[in-house]
Amino acid sequence: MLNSYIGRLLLIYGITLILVMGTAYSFYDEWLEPQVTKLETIVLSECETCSYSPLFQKQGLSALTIVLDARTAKTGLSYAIFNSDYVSAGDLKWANRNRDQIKRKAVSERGESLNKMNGEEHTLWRDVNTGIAISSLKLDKNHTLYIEEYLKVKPKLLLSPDNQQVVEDNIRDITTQIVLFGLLMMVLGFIATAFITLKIYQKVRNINKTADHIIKHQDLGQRITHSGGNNEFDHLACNLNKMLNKIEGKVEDIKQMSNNIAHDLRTPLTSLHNQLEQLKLDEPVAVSLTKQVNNIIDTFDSLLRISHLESGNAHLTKQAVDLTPLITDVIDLFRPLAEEKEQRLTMRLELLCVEVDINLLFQALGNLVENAIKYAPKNSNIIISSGERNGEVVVSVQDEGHGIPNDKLEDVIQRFVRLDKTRNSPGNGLGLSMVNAIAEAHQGSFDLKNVAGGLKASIHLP
Amino acid sequence: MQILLIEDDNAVADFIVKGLQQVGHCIMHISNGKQGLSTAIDNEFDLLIVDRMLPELDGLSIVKALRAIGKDFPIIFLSALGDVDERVKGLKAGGDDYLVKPFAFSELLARIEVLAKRAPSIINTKETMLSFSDLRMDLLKRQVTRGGKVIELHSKEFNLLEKLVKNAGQVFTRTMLLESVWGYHFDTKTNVIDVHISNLRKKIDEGSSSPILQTVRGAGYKVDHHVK
Repeated sequence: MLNSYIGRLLLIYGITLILVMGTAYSFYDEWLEPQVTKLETIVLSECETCSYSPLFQKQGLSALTIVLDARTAKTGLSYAIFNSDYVSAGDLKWANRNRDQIKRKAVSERGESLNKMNGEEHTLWRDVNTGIAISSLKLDKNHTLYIEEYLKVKPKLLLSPDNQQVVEDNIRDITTQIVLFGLLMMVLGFIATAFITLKIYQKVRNINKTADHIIKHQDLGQRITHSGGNNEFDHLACNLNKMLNKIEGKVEDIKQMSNNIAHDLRTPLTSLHNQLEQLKLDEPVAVSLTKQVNNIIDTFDSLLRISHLESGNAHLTKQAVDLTPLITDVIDLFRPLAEEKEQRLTMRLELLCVEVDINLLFQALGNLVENAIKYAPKNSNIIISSGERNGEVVVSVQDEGHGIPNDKLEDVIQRFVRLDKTRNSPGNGLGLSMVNAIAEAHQGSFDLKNVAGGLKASIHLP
Repeated sequence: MQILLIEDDNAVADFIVKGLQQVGHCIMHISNGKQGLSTAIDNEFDLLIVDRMLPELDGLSIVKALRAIGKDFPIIFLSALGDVDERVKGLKAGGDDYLVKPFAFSELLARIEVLAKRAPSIINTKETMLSFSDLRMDLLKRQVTRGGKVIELHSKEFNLLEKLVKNAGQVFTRTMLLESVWGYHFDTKTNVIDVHISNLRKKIDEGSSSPILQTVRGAGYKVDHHVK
């Protein structure tokens, strides 16, 4: 539990909570306790108390005073009799001040009314903790008797209309306290939550940062740093690192495997190709066979190159170049091919410098121009443009062909996908996959769009 | 020419040995990397053909070792690893050329011959005039005349012709031309180089009784005297 990061945070939270509650509780106690005057009292029997009212009514105030004085002398009990708001008899010290205070005191001592005796005439408040009880007894219309006594029985709450207001006041007080205490807890809870969230956020951000780096730089060698502790986040980081180790291993395996495939399959293909080459080339069968073997080899090569680029292991020889001469070279290479189809290759270039592997970018643009020449009709324009958009360098090849149905635009980038289902036209369906792989190897992207009057293929470079 | 071949695949090796012997080269074949390196150090060769992946010692290490001790004969890498970065690694290690398997024998032969002629042609790089038969090329003015008549060429056509005339008699494959004239390593499924050559041919040979730009079947192109 203590090893767990969340566990530790919860513990901190718990301790804070206990401290705060303790403080609140002691504050509550400190605040209220001094108001309780501890008096030695004895418990009056209920019967005895009940007899005071008839005595008063029959014999008058002086008779009751004599009886009570006698009781007081014997037991040390304190009492006070109020005539309306004035004390008319008795020795209850605090009663000398005023009657309201007695009432409030009786209730605020957390007393509970024990019983309802003689209807609404007699009410008893008792404090479980201090053992002090105050009973009030309505003697007649004007007179009320308050007796302070000592409790031995666990009391029950009893409210009478007489103390209703006081109780309500107290409930309001308590409610205010609860609300304030609740607010305090909420604030503390918020601070604790914010603290926990911040801690978790920091840990998650660290993991995210590494993941981002791996994605952006295609660097599987990166590992998540952690404190080496024993909590969940260190465990997570450890496990992710283990996973990365495995993935890196697998990628390495795949690389090794594709190299082995390349080595093991290309070599016999070489032999086959060479033996065919040594046959008389004039024989139509030999020519056709050589062509087929060459096609297999080409497809195979392209596939391996795409896989290699996509694996993120390809080491790009990047250099900062001006795009203009590179695009001019592409156009120079393909112009005669376009001229055969009476197509015009034109450039709309902005002066742009990008950091790229020029061989790969040449290959990508070459594939796009090759495609445009192949699929665009005779006597049309092919426009190669470059520009900067949203912080990216965009190189586009736009033709005046029939375009590609919108629902197929994504598909044709996939390997071996060709719109010509019969697969009769030359090509292996890897050209656009290669362009895509090259764009992605540069942390860029590739997309196709149908525009007015043709297809626009764009390579976005960061 | 004394050629050393270090290649562990016997089928490929046999075919290279036979082919090179037929055209009159003297060739020694070794199939193990370590032995290959010691043979290359102990003997004098004019050219080395070495595979990238070999038992015991790989091709890159062999070439690095040879260059480190000052052996400067031309070296051609053979490899099934065809990626551009592999190619760059090979050339950086000290290789002069890099050929990806499978290759046509004619491609290998053409490259061997270019490399064999490379050394003496260094002096020629300062030349500003080239000529072959009645064709004249002014490399400074970038002007071409045939029989005194000025021929207009595109810049790349001029470069193509310059390459072929400088190495007259030498066969260049399509890939070699693409690499040397454009300077990019580029895989193409189209006959784009053939179209360039045919355009060039139209300009320099059309109407001539002795065409000099010749197609070598199954291999590539060369500039040579017309044989009737």
